[in-house]
Amino acid sequence: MSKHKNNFLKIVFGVIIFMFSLALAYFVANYFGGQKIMEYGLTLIMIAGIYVLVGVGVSNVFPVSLGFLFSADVLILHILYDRIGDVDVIYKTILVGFVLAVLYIFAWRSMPDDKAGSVPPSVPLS
Amino acid sequence: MEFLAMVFIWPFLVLSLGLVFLTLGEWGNVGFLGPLTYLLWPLAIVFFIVLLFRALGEKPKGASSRGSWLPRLRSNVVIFSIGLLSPIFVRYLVEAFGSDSLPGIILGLIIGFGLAVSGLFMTQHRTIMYSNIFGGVLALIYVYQKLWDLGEVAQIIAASFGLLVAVVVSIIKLKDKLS
Repeated sequence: MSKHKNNFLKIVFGVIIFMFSLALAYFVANYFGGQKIMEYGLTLIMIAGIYVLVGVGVSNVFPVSLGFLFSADVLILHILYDRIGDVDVIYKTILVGFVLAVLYIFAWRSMPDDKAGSVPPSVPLS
Repeated sequence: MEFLAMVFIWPFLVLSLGLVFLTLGEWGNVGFLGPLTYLLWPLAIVFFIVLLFRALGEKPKGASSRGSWLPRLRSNVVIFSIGLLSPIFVRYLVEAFGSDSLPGIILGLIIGFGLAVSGLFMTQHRTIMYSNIFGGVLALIYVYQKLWDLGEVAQIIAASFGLLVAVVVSIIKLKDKLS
């Protein structure tokens, strides 16, 4: 029961951090854009970078780390959605290639086959 | 290191899924495949709803199988992402060489066949196997569609290359059964 309660609390705090960090990013970007301090998109990119660094820095505290990292996801996807048509094709190739490479590395290292589905050894091991 | 990978993988998977949909949205005006990309949205939604219902309907067989749907979901998300990002990568690569450049298309052809054939011959790492087959086939469909616009010589090259690969793969795969 206590374990479930802990997990529930982690999720609640993670969602709260996600929502507030996202709100903060958009409010700051709006303010900076309105006051002509910095461009809206550039502010979002910078805040996304800061969130990624914070998320990596506090990786041993799940809710905080994941809250910031998911916020950074939303910000990065928002920026990409706005500007993907303007980005040079070579940069898009590099971006997609990088994402593919990370996915392959993850699949290779962290996704071994099911034990039940693997082929049994044809030669007795003993 | 493994711990860090497990923490960061879900945000990264969400990012890669978002990238898939963003780049597919941009593909809406490319050749006869363009309108088909709009079909991928409902297909993807149905795919994930089916996965979710299968996961929820699964009866736990014991303490060890509890939560086993999560790795399977992760594996399916990786297959989906790699499978759709591979043809997108090939498309950008071809465009980086110039829209109708033959070397770029030949490189795309080699990557497409490389992915598909490597997927066919893999015996371990089922996630990568399915990803490569799925992604390779989609990349080949795109490359052949581009080749079709380049004229008769390119069509001959593409057909002969495809035939050569098919014959070699068949011989290797069916060697035991035919001899």
